[in-house]
Amino acid sequence: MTRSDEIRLVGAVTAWAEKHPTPDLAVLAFGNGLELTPRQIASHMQKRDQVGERLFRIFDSAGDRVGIEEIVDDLLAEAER
Amino acid sequence: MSTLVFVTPADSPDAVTLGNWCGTVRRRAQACGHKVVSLSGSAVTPAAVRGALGMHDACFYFGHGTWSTLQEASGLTLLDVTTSSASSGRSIVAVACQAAHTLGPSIVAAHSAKFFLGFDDDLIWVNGSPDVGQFEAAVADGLDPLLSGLTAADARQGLEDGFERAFQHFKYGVPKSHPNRVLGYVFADWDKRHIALCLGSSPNTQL
Repeated sequence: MTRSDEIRLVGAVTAWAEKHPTPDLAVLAFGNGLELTPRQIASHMQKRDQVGERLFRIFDSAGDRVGIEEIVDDLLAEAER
Repeated sequence: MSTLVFVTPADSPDAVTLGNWCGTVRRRAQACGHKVVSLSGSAVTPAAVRGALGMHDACFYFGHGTWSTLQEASGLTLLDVTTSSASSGRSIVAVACQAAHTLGPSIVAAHSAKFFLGFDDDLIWVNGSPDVGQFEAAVADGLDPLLSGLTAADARQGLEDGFERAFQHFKYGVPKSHPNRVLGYVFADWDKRHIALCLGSSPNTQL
């Protein structure tokens, strides 16, 4: 993922989180006990902390299949509902 | 038919969710004619897990994992390579984070387990009904081949197929306005990529 891709992804995740119907309820669960709300997902990715880096790695993995641009577009489509 | 033990610590919200998935798999195992034993909640201790491992043909674990352990939410190790000698000739399925990365290969190599099927990185799902059902179905349907007499490799393929169905559901089967659509397909794809099967020397990898 290029730096430009990362910036666009964080922007799209942030927009998605702000428009999510339940921004403060956990939407992601990890099998090690970690749960994340939409706002927490966006915050970790903005800060690029340890959890944020894990999330970048996962989005990057999916980007290999569908393309980061499509993921960004889909997130923005969800934000515009 | 085999004797299977289902281990579910259910000691945190995510582990309770995994325990629910375990219930689905356990019922299917019974329907397939296997003898089923449950070890759950506060009964799940390191000694109990070690004992269960040695008394049953296969252990199905649904809970927390790390690269090198199965563990409680508190961090207490339930099983690691030093405490898993009873796994010789047994099969282990771990619906847990990471454990197939290091623990699985170590158990197979050190203790001649028949196989260890799990995930070699984080296992992640979208929370909340009905989305979580896609991930539960991926696991439960994915393990069906193993329960119905096929091999561990068939179960690995079944899990991959299950997470692929979840990917397809979120990517193409829900409206683009669905609030967790992207999370659904991104994390279903992630889980699919991290299914790992560690095989021992036994040519028979059925239960």
